[in-house]
Amino acid sequence: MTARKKLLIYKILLFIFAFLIAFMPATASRSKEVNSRVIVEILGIDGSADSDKVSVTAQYVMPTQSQGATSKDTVTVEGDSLTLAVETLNTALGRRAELGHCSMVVVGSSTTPEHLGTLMTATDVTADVYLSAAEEKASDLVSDITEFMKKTGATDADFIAYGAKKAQIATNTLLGFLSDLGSASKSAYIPIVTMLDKEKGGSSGGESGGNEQQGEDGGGSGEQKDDGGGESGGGQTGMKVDKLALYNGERRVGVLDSGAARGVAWVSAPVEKGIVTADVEFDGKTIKDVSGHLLKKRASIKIEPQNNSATIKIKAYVEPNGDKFNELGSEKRAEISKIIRDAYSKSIERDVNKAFEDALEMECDPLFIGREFYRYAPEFYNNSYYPHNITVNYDIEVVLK
Amino acid sequence: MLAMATKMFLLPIYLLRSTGRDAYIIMAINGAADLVSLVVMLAAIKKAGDADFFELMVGLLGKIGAKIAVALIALFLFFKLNISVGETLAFYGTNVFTDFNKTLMIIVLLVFLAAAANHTLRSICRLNEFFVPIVGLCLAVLIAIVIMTSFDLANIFPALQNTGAFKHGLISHASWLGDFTPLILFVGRTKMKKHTVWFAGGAGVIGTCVALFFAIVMSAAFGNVPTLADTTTNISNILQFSMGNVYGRIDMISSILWSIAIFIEAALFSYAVCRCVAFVIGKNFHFRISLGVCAALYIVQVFALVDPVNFSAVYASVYGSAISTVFGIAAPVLALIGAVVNNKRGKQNNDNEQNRSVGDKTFIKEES
Repeated sequence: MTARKKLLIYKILLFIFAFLIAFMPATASRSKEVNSRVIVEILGIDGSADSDKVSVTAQYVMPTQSQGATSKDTVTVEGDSLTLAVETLNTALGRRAELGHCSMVVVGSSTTPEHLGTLMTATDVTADVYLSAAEEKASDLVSDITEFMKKTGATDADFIAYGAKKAQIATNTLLGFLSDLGSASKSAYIPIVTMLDKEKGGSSGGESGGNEQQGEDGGGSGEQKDDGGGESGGGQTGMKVDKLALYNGERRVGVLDSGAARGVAWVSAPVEKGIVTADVEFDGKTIKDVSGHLLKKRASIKIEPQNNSATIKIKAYVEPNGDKFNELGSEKRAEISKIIRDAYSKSIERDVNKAFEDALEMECDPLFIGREFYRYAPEFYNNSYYPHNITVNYDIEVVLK
Repeated sequence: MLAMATKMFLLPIYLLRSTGRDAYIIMAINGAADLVSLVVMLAAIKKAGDADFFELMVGLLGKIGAKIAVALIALFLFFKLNISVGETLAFYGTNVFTDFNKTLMIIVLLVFLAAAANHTLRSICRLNEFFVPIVGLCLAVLIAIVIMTSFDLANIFPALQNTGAFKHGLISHASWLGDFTPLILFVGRTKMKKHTVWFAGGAGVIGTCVALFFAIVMSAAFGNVPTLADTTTNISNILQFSMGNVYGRIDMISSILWSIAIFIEAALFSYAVCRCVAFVIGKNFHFRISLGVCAALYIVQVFALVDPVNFSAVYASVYGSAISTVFGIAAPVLALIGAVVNNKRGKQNNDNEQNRSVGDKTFIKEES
């Protein structure tokens, strides 16, 4: 066959191929309109091991007539199982709900980890989606968040980026949660999101166990305040993320308060920002709430099976805030720095210890001490490990910058 | 070489599901075995001189024996080609498109494979040269992301807690062995200078290290929950798992890398199958042979391997692994033995010719 003939055959084949691709049923019948799609941004799941019904609430966006605009709303459906409920979602919205873009899943108080496993394996929700927990019903929280977003113009991405990087709270992804539960510690956490109403929002600045959460990053509690972007009158004005819901393999077993939640964040989460506060005694005076910005931190757990003990090591780089630091005087700078370092260390140790003790009462291990024993001393873990017998020591080093 | 060694395909998922957090150890063993094959293959290419693989086989096994051996190697290469194509279709069918018409979309790939088989080995290599910087860049970015984020790599510990599952994984998940087999076509066609050997070996080592690194990442991510890994799981999911989904579409980087690597590998396998078939039938009908190979590929993919369960049953099996192990070792060893025998025969022929010429001169002297 000559090169010319070959070329001709190639051209004909290419033409047939292009024709097939362009006019094949799947291509020809596909609607090109973007407004024929519904994108689910947030998904709420309510279900329990006892009930045979699962309720799914979706916050969805739909393109509107005006260019570049979208409308946000919620819909709640119910099914005999999670997969059936998700399938019902398509019917409720009148088109296929795109779950691949979902960036947050809100978990109700009675939702089981099994539901989340099904969510990951049987639906299009991706493994990297962030989890948030509702104090009670996920459907209520999704509706409240949607209202809040409508008022302030905040997007789910803003909320997640804030939660993941700026707040001193341990966040978790779907796969991270399931992986934690599957680990030797058999425990996992999800941050609890609550909405603030205007009255509460005005007076909630100091409700975190005496640690006033203030500062540019929104404070260690992850609290956001309405800065006037919302409508006037009642209704939701902000979100608060300062507690953690703890899970074992079967269900939610309890809630860690803000102090303990910070303790978990110190050890188990890649927190980049945060506030450290402590009361400092110097020259017979007590200066309350001397605060500093966390710049970076390193945390590790060193196990000693022979002593039945584990040491939690944290090295935190903190930049003290100027006002109260200066109030302590500038003459004995080295001595003051040492006192502040010690005070910060004690504050961090208090949070971590509270996290350990509170979680132990719930038979949970969000600091993943058991996992470390399993990783590096599997024989000890299999034969002699019992969480209540482990002595936990703390080695907290604070470096002032 | 880099693309061939970068085995970021779906097979590790099947391995992960059956072996758990020890999957990376099996991957390391297979990678090491493949590197040994590469060294043998490079030695064969260096020793072969101008004789190509088919000539070496004829010299070693005779004409009929060579045809039988090459036919078997062609079948193995076709087996590997099916793995690459099956994985490509699974990737696009489950990860990229929600409605993916496999029976039609496979034709896109077949056109590419037929075109590659119709061109020269040199043109395929030149095409690869164009992609190498992209592959290198994507690898660097992905590795940097894993290292810079707080990915919990320590989750691969403790190792070998379930030795039964490990042994089963070792004997039934070796289908990615033999990725360097298409290099038989480079025998007799490559001038192996010292730096060529180092570059080729280095690329193989780097590619294997990258594959191992990502296997470690996957093992760490799914070590606690191996049953949750499925064909929609890929390296980008894992990266976002460690850092959350607030960084946009970083999965595009791994998709590009994955696509380029598997297309290059599939093109090489397709080319190698066609050349082997051409040798067996004794005709250089490249165009018709490539059409025939593509037709066979279409039938296998669309009718036999349409179900991912069939795919995993074939490729993640003891039989599939045995075939890959045998051919992964046999092809380079045959090439090396052929090259050594060919060299010896060449030397003997030279000696005989020299003796003959010396004898002739003596005879002439005696006559005179």
